[in-house]
Amino acid sequence: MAAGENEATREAVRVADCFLLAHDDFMRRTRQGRHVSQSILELARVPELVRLRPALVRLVQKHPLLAGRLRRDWRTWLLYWEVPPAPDRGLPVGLWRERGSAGVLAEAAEIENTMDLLQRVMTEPLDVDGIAFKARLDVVEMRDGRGRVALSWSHLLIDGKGAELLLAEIGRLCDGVDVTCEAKEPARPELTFKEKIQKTKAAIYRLEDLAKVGAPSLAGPRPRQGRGYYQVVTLGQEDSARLTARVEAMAGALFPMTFYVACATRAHDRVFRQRGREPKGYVVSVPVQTRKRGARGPLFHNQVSIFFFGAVREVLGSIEAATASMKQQFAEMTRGKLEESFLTVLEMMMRLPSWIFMHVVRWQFKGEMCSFFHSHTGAFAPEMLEFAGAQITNAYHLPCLATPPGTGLFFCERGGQVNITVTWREGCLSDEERKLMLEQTMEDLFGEPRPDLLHGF
Amino acid sequence: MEQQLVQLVSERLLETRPGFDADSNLYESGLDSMAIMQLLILIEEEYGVALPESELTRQNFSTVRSVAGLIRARTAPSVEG
Repeated sequence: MAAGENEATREAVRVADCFLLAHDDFMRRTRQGRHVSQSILELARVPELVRLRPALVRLVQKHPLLAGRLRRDWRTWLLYWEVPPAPDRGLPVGLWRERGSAGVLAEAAEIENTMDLLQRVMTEPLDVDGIAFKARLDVVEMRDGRGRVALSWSHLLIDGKGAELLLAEIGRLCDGVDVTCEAKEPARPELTFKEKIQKTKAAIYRLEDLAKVGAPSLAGPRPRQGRGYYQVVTLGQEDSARLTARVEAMAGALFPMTFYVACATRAHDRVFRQRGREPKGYVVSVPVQTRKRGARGPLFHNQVSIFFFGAVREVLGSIEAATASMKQQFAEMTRGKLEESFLTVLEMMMRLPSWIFMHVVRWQFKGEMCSFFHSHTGAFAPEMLEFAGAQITNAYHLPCLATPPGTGLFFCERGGQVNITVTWREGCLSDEERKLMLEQTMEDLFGEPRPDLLHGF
Repeated sequence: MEQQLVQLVSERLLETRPGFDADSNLYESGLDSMAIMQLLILIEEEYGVALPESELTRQNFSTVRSVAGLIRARTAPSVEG
């Protein structure tokens, strides 16, 4: 019997969602808040609310999963999404204006500092009026007349690329374009238990090898309560072009990601050495998209697997050696279909309660998950030029993470500009260490120290 | 070969739009590092060709036609005098 319009429906979770639930649950249990990240659009002016508000209503009607709740089926022990009938309201939106702004957003609350506001929003629950929203939007009128839009999203339902696609979907709805975002997801092969065990071997062997190196994090293996902090550095067009040329010379034109992961590793190593520690090496987990590139969707679920990169001390002496090592590992992992193997490992763990799931994840590295989080997400929603009538001048993510590992270094590009986001949790990185991490990052990005880019940090 | 590659790219790597053909820009269709690495492996599996690092340039991977040219150059029988 088909479900009526007023009945909740069920939607299956994807394999990686189980890891993200365990991560979210771990953060909640250890008083670190929830796993909520943010994606930011910088706009040439304030977006038009007369277009945005109806678009957010239509968005929720079209995608009621945005108000879904994760449940566990106690017969199968599998998680599923309970999707309610579409709520009779739009996605929550907060309106703010910086003190001294012209007041285009007349009904907005006044704030002193936008970054402080956005970081605070990320620590607050997404639920509104008993509706379990998994995202919200905040619009800020800046002092200089420009606009900023922040999409806060729960990693239970949305991943980084999904957030970009969701912003693009809201942008289309603002323009009155209402098209399907459905996209064919890669089919999970039906395997026997024995075949699954066979398929997990590549990932298991990889993790065993990396366990010999260890995955020390700057936070240490013990969970620590507290909130996250974020800093974004945007490189200008000229510096970004210079950096792109350097990346191509070192990593090859086609594999910039390997340069950036090397760069992030050396930046963390610099802080370790400053603390008087020289670990054998590090382990970095890098998300790998499983969506087909170029698709409008799927908007939801964690459509990712993970590549685990290792960096032993011998390759950390120079950015060239570190990049060469990452490139070799990238080729080996792709060839060995490690992303498929790792997803099969997760698939076999899907029925585990979250706390056991997390225990298994951290067991391999003696309480750590990895040395730090990193991603290079490439061009941020390149197909989007405007949002609710306002030109997009820049865009980036503020990815949330837990302690451990407590720190992360992320890169993305928008319109030829490179954005660098440093994420750190309370008590995991001092101001001096953060500065040192950024100094090393700039030195590797440009081949020479660039104090001019860190002025004021 | 171009047609076969277009099909391979559309089925296995990229969500291509209607009208995608051998001259469409692969980067505008979403080609990234991971997809390129997967394409290299597909080329090895389907055509038995391992492309050397010196040929892995943005230009060479800009369209299906340019990729097909690389494969053809490696699979063409060598002529000895």
